[in-house]
Amino acid sequence: MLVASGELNRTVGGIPNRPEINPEVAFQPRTVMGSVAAAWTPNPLPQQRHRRSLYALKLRGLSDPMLEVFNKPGPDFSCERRDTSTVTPQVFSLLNGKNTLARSLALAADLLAADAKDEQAVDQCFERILSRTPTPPERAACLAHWRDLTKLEASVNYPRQHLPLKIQRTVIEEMTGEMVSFFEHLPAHADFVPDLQPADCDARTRGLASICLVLFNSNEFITVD
Amino acid sequence: MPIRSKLPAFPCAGTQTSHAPTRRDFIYGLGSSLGSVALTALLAEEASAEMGVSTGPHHPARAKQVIFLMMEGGPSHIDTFDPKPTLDRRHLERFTRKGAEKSAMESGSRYYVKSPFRFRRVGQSGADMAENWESLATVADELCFYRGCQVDSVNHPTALYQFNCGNRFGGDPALGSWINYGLGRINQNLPGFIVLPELSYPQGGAANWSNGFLPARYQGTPLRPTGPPILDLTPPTGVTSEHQRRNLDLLASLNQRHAKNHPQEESLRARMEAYELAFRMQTEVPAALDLSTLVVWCGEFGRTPDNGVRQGTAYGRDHNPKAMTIWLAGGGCRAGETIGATDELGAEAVEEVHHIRDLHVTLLHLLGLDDSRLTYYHAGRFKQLSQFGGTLINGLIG
Repeated sequence: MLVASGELNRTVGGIPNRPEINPEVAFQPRTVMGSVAAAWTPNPLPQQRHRRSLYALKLRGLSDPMLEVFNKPGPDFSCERRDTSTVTPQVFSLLNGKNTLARSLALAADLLAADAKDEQAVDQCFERILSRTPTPPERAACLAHWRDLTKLEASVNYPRQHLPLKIQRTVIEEMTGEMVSFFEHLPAHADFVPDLQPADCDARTRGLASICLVLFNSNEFITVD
Repeated sequence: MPIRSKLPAFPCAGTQTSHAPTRRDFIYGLGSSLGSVALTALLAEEASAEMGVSTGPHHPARAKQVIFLMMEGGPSHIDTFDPKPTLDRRHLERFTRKGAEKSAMESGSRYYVKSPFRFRRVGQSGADMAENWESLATVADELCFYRGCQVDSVNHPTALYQFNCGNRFGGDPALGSWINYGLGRINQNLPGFIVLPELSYPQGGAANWSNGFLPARYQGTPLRPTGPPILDLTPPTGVTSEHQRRNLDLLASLNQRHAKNHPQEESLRARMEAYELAFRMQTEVPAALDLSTLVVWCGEFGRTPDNGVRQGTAYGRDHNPKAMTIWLAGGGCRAGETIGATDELGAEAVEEVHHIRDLHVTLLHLLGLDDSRLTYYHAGRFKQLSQFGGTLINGLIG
């Protein structure tokens, strides 16, 4: 997806990076001896975050749920080939997850920045994601979809999303069994430069991003021919 | 069906979090079957060419599903189900541990510590229980208390991994994953292994319910205690159900063309169906389960009869892998009995002593599975839950 959206940082090796992961998991309190582990803090800059998953920091007690539903190998053994599975959480992750949406918006914005005509933009979507041009019926279906979605999107006001500078955490105290709440401060989030969000884009871009999202979810993209 | 009617028609759609089902609603929708391994079997079988598809039970099962209550933290058997009057007499008697008996958490002088709780015998069977257990006391005759189990680790994360996954080093498949691998009757799309974590994930994190080297469809699905129960169950803020439905229709038409060109690929069809199933997931209520359920209550280890004094006043108890109490109920276990025993102080199991691997073998046995046949080829050998084999704890089986 990062390749298709043109965002992949192709640097080889180096210090492990910290991509954005599902925020529910990033902020999920995890007990460590006598305390609670710190929240997952992504790298501040997009180009730092957008690397191959091979280079992402791996914590045993906190793994990226998106990789997990796609048979992420464990850290203990070499893995010559991943298992393949089809499970519903993959759908939730790819269809509703922040990652696919951000890649779709980035690709759509990239295509429209080149001032492409509608037909060209749809063709380039297919080329970037599926490495082929669409058939005439596919092109027609996508153009109609884009028009409909642009109309739909025009009426939606997306809130701008920020990473919080502090989060309230509630845990059950080990010695007393009582619920205890406290604030964890996340000063690193002050420097965080977010990926392109729906709030940054006009309705036309968001409409094209819908096509990208659908293509990223298609069997043709996910499976190897 | 009052709860069902609260669920949105499209579980993936809708923007208002107030409409998102709670974990309670979600479980209710699954027929109130926590940790149900039989859940997968309730839907139609689905052929699959994928590797590692389960083959069904090896022998008739006594239990069809398991509720595994892991009391993370190492509950003290001495203060719950295994009273030690000797400790009352020797309360605050000072002593020293020597050599191999020395604790990894040694902190100066040690004292024997009596339980602060009063015990009584409950039920016809006269089971030992601390007074704090009020409701549990009413079902005492249904429980089988086991005092003989031992584990290898004194540390929380490694002991949790060993209890949940058979191996002290995280990364092996969890008990629920093995059971699903053995029994799941193949519709791979609904979770057959559900995890209900408390607010804070246990030490060792999600690896406690991971599928390890088994395929991802055997992975435990944690239902989150707050907010939407499943990750990414709802689309990003602002995306409406109409929006999603249109995206899905376009996706279906693109996939259909692709499937026409690959008619032999069963997995492509399964993927297409997974998208539609995702929408239906909570609105389908499987038939009520009338199958026998095995309930297991345990911690990752027990506690010692002694401890150093913490901050001058608190008499805690140290981690103890050599003694603990586990109870089991239903699913072909004995009822109203206490099996095994610890020594006079509760320091070590002395009767019916078994390693945790034997408990795993026994649980699988009750579910109709033979640990030595429930294997998966990984990293050059056939692996199994017990690691290298174990024996049945016959005393627990009714």
